[in-house]
Amino acid sequence: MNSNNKTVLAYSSLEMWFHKHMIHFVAFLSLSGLPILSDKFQFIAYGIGYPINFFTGDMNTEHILASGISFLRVIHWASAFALTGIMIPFVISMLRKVLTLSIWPDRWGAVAIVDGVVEMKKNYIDLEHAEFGKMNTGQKASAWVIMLCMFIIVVSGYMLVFRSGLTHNFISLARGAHAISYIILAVTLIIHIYFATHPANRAAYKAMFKTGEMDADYVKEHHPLWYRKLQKV
Amino acid sequence: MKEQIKCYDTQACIRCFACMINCSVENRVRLQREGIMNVEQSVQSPMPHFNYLSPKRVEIGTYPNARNVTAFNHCNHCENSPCQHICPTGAISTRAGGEVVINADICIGCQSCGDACPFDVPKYSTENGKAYKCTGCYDRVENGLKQSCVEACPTTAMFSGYAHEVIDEARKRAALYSEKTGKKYVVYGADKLNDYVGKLKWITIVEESELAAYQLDTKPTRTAIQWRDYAKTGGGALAVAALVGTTAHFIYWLDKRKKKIAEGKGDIHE
Repeated sequence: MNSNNKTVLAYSSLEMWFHKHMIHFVAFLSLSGLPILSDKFQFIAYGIGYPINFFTGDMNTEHILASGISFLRVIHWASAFALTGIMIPFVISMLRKVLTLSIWPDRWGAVAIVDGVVEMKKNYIDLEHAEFGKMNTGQKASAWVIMLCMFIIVVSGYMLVFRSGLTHNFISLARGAHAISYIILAVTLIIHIYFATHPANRAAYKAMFKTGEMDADYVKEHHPLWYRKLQKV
Repeated sequence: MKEQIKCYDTQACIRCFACMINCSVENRVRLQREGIMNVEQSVQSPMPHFNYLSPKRVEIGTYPNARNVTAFNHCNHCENSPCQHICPTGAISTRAGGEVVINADICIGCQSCGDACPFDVPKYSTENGKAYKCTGCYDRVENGLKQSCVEACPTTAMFSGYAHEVIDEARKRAALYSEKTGKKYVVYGADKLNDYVGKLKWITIVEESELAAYQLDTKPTRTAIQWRDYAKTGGGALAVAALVGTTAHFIYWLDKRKKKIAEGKGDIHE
């Protein structure tokens, strides 16, 4: 809670900075990775390959796809290295305060999960105020899914790039894990983006992308568990 | 053009390695023929990625009854060709004669084919960053010639032709060997092995108990790549479900919010 007691610091400047750049890089990584993952997204590679081959004078259809994929692979690797670069300060910062992060359950056990789901229903289905902390059960679950998937994607991605000395059989595990984790991440991100941009969450959206702060009265009403925790502090 | 396949008969093979040598020669001559390299370069350069037939000596049995057999690692030109399915640039295709071929011009060297191949076949060249494997000598076959390995074999341990003819001959030989030796001989790859590779277009006549010694996998697969394929299908469905679900929730939310405001309960999200 800030000194004026009217606003609450929801996101630090580092968290806001990382989140913004994470969006850019995940967009680049998705656009450049999807045509490699599935031929249903080859239109992206054709879109990139066509101007390249137009200037090189090689308009063979097969060569256009190969040029596009080659270019996108460079973008994919560059974005991956850059994302890893910005992850380092963020991860160090989070690890320093890992025990105080909102990703941990307030209570453990099946009953706590059921209670959390009931509170989510109250908020998202009944449109009533729910007993939420800074993050609700669904947000915590998606945060863990996103972190786990990101970890697997980064590790398997580096294995695919620096594969010298590793067997094809071993690398195939990395290739499978890279794709499966991305697919789970992408589906989770669709839901995450929906709720993040939902009009009901405009206070959190504004905090993440503009001020980093939320109105204390809003927090008291919408995140009572978090508010009470802040009061204790 | 009808599908053509090759057969390797382990019993008729005298392990002279003429097939392997002729394969290497043909690959070098091909480079000369296409003007990529001159004779001296093509002969003196090691080019290990052009060794499409890699022999591996395996000792079977125990002393004093031990003996050596030679297993060959080579492209089996799978019916379902996982290398072709995973290739992101479409550099791998199946020719009309059934040969699964890498087009080096559009291979970007991502090595996906090697990761998907359960037989560990495609070789990556660090010299030019491209993947290589047996082409089934499709250029020779499409011009009425036999594959270079088949042409070199002095004992017809390797033979090729139209699929049904080769399979018939292979089954006849397997039945004969079974009858004469009292041991069961099979034609590996003539029948569908599994959904991952299907049938093979390079089949092998081998004693059933020696399949492993000849490194002939009866369930060739790359589990992680199979799961990747399942995830692609399931992921598409999940992504659509997520989009439909979130859209439906938004419409529901708008309607419910409108009703709440109309009832005078106010907007909890303001």
